[in-house]
Amino acid sequence: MPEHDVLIIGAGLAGQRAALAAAQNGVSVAIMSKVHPVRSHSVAAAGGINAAIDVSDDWRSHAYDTVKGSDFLGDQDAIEVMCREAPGEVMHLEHIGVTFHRNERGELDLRAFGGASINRTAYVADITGQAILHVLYEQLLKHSSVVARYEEWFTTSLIIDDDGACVGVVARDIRSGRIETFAAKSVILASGGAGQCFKPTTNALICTADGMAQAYRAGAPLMDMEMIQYHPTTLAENGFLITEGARGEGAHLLNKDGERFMSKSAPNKMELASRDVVSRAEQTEINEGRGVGADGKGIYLDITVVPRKRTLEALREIVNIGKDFAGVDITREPIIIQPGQHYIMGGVKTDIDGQTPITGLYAAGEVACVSVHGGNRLGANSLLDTLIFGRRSGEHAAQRALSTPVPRISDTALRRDAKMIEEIIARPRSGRRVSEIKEELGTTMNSHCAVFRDGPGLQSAYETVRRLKEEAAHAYIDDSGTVFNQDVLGAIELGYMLDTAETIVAAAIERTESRGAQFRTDFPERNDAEWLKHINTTRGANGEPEISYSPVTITQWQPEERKY
Amino acid sequence: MDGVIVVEPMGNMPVIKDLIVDMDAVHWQKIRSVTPWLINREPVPEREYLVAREAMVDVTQSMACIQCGACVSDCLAMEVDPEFVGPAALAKAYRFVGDPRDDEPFERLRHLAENPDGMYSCTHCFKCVDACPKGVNPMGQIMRLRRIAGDDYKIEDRNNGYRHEQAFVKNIRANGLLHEADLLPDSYGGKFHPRAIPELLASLPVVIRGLLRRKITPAKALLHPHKAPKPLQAIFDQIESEPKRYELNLYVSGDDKDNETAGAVTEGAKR
Ligand SMILES: Cc1cc2nc3c(=O)[nH]c(=O)nc-3n(C[C@H](O)[C@H](O)[C@H](O)COP(=O)(O)OP(=O)(O)OC[C@H]3O[C@@H](n4cnc5c(N)ncnc54)[C@H](O)[C@@H]3O)c2cc1C
Repeated sequence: MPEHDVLIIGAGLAGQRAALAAAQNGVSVAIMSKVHPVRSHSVAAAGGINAAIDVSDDWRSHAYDTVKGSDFLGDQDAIEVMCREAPGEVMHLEHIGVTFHRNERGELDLRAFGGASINRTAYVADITGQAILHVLYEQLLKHSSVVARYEEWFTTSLIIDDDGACVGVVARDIRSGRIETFAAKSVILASGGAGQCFKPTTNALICTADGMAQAYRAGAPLMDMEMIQYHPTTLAENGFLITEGARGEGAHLLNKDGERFMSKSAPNKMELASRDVVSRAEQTEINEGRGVGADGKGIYLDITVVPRKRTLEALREIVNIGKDFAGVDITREPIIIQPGQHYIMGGVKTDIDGQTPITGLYAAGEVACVSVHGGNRLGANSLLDTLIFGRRSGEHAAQRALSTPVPRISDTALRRDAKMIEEIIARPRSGRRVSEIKEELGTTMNSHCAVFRDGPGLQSAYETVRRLKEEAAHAYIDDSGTVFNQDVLGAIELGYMLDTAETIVAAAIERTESRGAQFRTDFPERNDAEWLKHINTTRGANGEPEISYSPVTITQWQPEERKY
Repeated sequence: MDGVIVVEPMGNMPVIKDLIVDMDAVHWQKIRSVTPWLINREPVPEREYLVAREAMVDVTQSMACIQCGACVSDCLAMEVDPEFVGPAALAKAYRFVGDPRDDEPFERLRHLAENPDGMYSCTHCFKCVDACPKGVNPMGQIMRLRRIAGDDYKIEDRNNGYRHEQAFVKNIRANGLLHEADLLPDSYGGKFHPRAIPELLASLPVVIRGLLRRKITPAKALLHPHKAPKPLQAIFDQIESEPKRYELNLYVSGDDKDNETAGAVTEGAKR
């Protein structure tokens, strides 16, 4: 049985940063990922990373923008930590080799991004996530004597001992089908988001909420799950992301009359208001018949106003996406976009060191909820979140491991998971296919749990998810092999997505107000008196989510009306 | 052909199952062989390293590599010589050699030059350029590694390609037309260079055959009947008076159609 002081599940930015930080603290570290680390979803991040590094900027301004962006649901102590440590973290990335774009003086160049009061987004063309992820992986290769890598291993569950502490995981080697128990003094979940619960989504096929569901099943609370971000600019054809960097560079949003409609809801920030505000404005235009495209469900994003040379240099990926997937040369004509599911603000509840309420279990990155994003995440704050809290959990988990004995583990969990996999493979072809259930889940969530929500719609989504859970218990797959059996993993992931979707809908039903990404047409106002609090969902005895609340931490910024 | 698309596993790598190949055994092993991390130039500054804007845009082209292995799959040189470091790893190497923050570009280049399966094993077949979905242009990065090694660090090219190229330039500059009799000795450092003698002896049969078939005459071979015309000299003078080498860069220039944009070429790595 492999044993490590610190075991990290997930090798995106949060996981790799955690691994490197833990290794610096002199403990034995391992990192596990169901895909090769550089295929982690962080690779898709385009626009950049926020930090108050400009001499005329201040971390408090970054923190205030973040608090305001969160619609005052973010915990201000955590936001302060993130924004204060941001400049140092970005400089660290620069030192280890990230090829950040420079200004004419050779310093880091900063671009404008949504909800920010000053240019504070450092970037590498529109491949920022890829550039950082690859540089961190370079560092993992450099430190391979102290960080073991389990590449293409799939974690099936967390192991909780009799005292309720997390002491390891069960995982399957995807290449061979072998299943193993891993013992660890500290486990860090860095397994990313839940985008595949929705269809369409900007998220990759691997974003299946594994970590959230694993923690939830182990008894950890999930917080702010109702807060689902719809990004204002996703390609109408297939939901691909067009980075906010495009609007940062000056692109306009136009309705069918050619009007820059953002002047109505955000006269100052216009296209660069926070994402929830822009997505709602777009959806309103569409719902009121001013959309564009064949079905009237789109909005024009006009990038032609950006100088062509700048677009080719700084937005190269979306030039290619436009060309390849929409047949549009974005430097010459507008492209049709619409709001689309992009990010989940909620996740496994943690403190500012990444600790969850389960001893020995940490979480960082999109899987976690510290909560720095509250009701709405600002663009370019997520990469920052993954790195700051990845590093902090790596450090804390290592310190903890130094004073913790090697756990003793039975093989109960291993036997249970092995049996579960055998059972999936043996299912008769009488039920539905895994892929059909996943499809229905995605479209249901996108119909009822999107930019605008209401009680009856959410209730029907909840009932659908409950039914799909029952169907999923008998859903069949085609591949019964052992080597690279992605089919069986798909069936396990479906279970994770359904558990997670259930908590999302339950929390959205619970919050009878409108705040950040949660807009209830039946409760259109923000209601601080009743709802300035987090909703936590834990798994109840009957398997259904149980709701509880926790307070929002306020340090220096009192809630006020949000205007852009 | 008839709307049929053939799908097969990637080449140059062992197949594990169906379309799945063992990238670790080939692609990643080669990446690991080029010391794929930054070796910091000291002192590490408190804030960012101050480096030219163009230099960062320039290495971003190789940072755009997604490590998909398509270039490795299609590499003809690797098909013949499986030990060849290959296009992806060499593009990765350029990412450090071209990065002004790296302290050991010379060591990196010397290593790639001394390795018999290093940067001189590329045969310029353009397969990797075609295969790359991200416009990384691995072959272009390999050529730049070679140019920096030869021009800036005077690193010896084992295959003599660098001197061969120089011999062509010298030859055309002087004669206007290719004067083949000089090309060979010049490629080995001149008629009287010790390295040239065995090469000249070895090529004696070719020379004799040429003489017999009257393709060349002793007079033509020894005298230089043709001189480069003035306008040609002017072209050489102009190019050689440029203070820096100019290199194309995808991120700045866009693709061919975009060349009308201002600043379509950028300075090459400054070394
Ligand atoms: C298209 C797009 C563009 C974006 N652009 C930006 C941007 O410009 N700026 C910004 O700040 N944010 C951006 N974001 C958001 C940001 O990219 C993500 O929130 C962030 O990268 C998440 O990182 P992570 O490390 O938490 O998870 P991920 O990068 O998703 O990594 C998750 C890891 O967990 C592993 N894993 C998951 N389940 C298992 C399992 N069961 N067993 C083993 N391993 C597992 C995966 O293999 C992977 O390694 C963007 C998001 C998208 C979708």
